[in-house]
Amino acid sequence: MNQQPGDRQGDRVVAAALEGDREAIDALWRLHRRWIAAVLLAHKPAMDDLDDLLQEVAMTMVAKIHTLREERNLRAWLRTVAVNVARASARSARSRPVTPSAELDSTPSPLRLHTGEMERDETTRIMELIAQLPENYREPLVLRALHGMRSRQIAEIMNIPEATVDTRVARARRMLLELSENGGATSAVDGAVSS
Amino acid sequence: MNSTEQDMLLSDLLDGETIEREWAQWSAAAETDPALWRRLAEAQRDELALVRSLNRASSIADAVEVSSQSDVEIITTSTEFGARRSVWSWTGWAMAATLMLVAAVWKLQIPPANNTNTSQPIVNTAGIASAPEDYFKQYLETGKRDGTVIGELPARIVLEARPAENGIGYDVTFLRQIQERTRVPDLYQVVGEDDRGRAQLVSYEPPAGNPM
Repeated sequence: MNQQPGDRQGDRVVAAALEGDREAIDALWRLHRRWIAAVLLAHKPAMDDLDDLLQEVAMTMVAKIHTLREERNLRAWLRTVAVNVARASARSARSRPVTPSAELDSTPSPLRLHTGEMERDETTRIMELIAQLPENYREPLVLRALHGMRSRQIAEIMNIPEATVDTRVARARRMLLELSENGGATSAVDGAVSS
Repeated sequence: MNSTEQDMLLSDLLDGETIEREWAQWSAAAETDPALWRRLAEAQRDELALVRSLNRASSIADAVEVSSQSDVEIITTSTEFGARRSVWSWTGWAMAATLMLVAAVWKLQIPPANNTNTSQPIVNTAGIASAPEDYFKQYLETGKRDGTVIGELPARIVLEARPAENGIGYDVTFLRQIQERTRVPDLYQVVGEDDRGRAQLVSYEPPAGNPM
């Protein structure tokens, strides 16, 4: 794999971050936070606590980045941290008592602070559709759609072959279309296998 | 071209990573099935909506920082919001039953189980009052003895964490959850607000045999 000048610069930032350089850690976080949000959304599509989960990933990054052994594994490491945070949050949500009325928690969700009603409706609808996709199809799809990541990058992060990424993205798009057309039911989702 | 190949080709077209060959393939297929052009157009529309929605949802990330003005601070611009929401989630859960305990005036004292005088502060062997944690333990023990404290829940809710100023460890702000018990003459349920925005209360009677 040929290394581009930008990659070398990125490597230096990662190396500085591993040494505890606060500015480098800050720069790394800013560089990666959007796709980390995408990973969190893929594994826990509820948007209400996304900022809390991001905080947790950020804090883990600051506290543990020195444990990263190879600079080139940064993305995969951050992805693992994000997946663990999302899954722990999902587990915790399952074990928490259900609030009878969500209206009791009157604090607006972050999404409500940022968007208008129509945009919110579209986002909510699409996030609900994404939530119905099998988990291993969601992540490559959102990484491709949100961050425009290439198959190679997604494959590296998820530690799966590039061809698998392409297949999952294509199938996820087909499933989303069917879900959208059929009001939430699709044969493609039912028939999805771990490919 | 079967449907799987069509999906793959369409996905490539949506990614914009295609070369002439893919476009030629799609065009050739669309010559015999013009509906493919419609499918492509709809897929592009859906993809745009997907990208737009994900961008909106993930834009929250732009407000989350690992550092702000100072080197030591890792609390983000939205931490205050996150913390406030954590508190709200907690209080929201606690308020889920929408029951108001009218205890301020009517609170009935539960007689202590014994007459141990527990009003004495804990002192260490040097005769100096101990750390806050000792007073806290005293409160728990005293409360358990007289029946007003059930105990402390093991989970602590973290509101904020930041690296310590001396660079060693983290300063963490958290909530401790204490279960207390009291006895009141009546329970009231909030059923709405009057014209002046004051809470409307009605007497609440839990179903017989159910401790709520």
